[in-house]
Amino acid sequence: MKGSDFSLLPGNARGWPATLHPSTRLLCGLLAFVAVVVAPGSTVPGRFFVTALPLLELLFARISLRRAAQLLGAALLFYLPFLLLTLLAMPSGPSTVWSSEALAVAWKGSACVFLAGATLWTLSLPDLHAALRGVSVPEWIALLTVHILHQTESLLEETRRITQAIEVRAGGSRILVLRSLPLVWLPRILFKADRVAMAMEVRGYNHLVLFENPAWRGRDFASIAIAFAFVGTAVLLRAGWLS
Amino acid sequence: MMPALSCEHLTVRYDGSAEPTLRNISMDVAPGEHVALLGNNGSGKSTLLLAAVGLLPHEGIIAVCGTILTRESAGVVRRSTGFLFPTPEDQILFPRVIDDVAFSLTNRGMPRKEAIARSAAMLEQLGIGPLAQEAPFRLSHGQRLRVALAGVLVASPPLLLLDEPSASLDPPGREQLIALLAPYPAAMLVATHDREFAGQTCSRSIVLENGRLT
Repeated sequence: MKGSDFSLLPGNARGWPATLHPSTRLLCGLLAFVAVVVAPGSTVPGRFFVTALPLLELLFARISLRRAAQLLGAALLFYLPFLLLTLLAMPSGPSTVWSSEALAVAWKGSACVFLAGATLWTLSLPDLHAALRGVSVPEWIALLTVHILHQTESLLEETRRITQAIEVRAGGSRILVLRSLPLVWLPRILFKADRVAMAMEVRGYNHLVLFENPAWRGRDFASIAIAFAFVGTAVLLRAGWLS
Repeated sequence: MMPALSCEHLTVRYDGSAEPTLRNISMDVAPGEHVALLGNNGSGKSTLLLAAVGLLPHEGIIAVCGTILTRESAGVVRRSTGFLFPTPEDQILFPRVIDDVAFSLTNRGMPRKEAIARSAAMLEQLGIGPLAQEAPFRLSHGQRLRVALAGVLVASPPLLLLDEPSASLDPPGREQLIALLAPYPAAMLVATHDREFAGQTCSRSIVLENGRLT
């Protein structure tokens, strides 16, 4: 087994979401995402709402703090440059209205990145497959999505091995690693793709495989109802009825 | 009795290569017979295995359990064959161990419940029962090899084509593999460098040198 902190691996979120049908986890994540998009980011109640949803997800899914920090880092990577560039690009210098709007976009965007990452983190690949099938995504699309992600994992692992090998042979020179990686990586990946295609042919991978659906339970319907309530709250906040 | 695998005047040439990789190979593997395919690197061992399941274009005749390999019959031939690639992760197609093993059966029309039960039993037999729900990428090389092997063996094909099955296994894993394969009732062609492994699992060996049988 690789790694020691299993809470960092997809599908390892614990707590309430782990007890739900995979489709419920996906739907609730989507609805929470929609709620954040709809909620106003420039009012105090709106900002409170936009901040509270990811925190609730963090709490209920018992996502590790390290994973939460990584998600926050990803959100900052996306939105901090946008925020800074917007403020710097203003012709007449930063104004309160512009700053507030830019901050609202960055705030909501970061919350969306956080929610999307956290939702995916509650789903392992088999869970994702069941989740997609559970919401009536056609079987071939569900299977294809899972296979793309599965093979991506394989490619990432291959890339990690290649990088380590180059790093050792390059005596720790990062520049040499960056320069050599594409030259080494591409032929290796093409060879691997060829091997995987051969294996798929030999194993007769041309039929759809039938899987069983996990059962829906009362807590699934309750969770979806709560998620819809969040969307409703966001709509009321947007309409100004809760401000 | 019809051989499990038969090659007559088999020649295989890779695209763009002036010289053929395999030249005029004629050989049989009888039902239930275990044959080791020995030879140095680049002698054509893997090429012979790949050609036997129709993954490489060939000249000459290849027959598996009486079915002559053609473009049309390749599916039938592959269903009669269990193939183990040298890098096991290449052939693990599903993100959960039990699903990957069960695929070999559901793909042959077995109901999923029965397929899962048989796959779980096969994983137990290979000593990796507790890994059934794991993702293959969390496993070690030896564990992945056994997962791939479980996917091959669970369908009980009459012919096994194994490419370097003992490579990079630790001594206990290697011993376990020998104990499993030596009494295995299906015909087997095992490409390997490991002469000791070949001696313990196979009753006969053939040697390839520069694409020719010696």
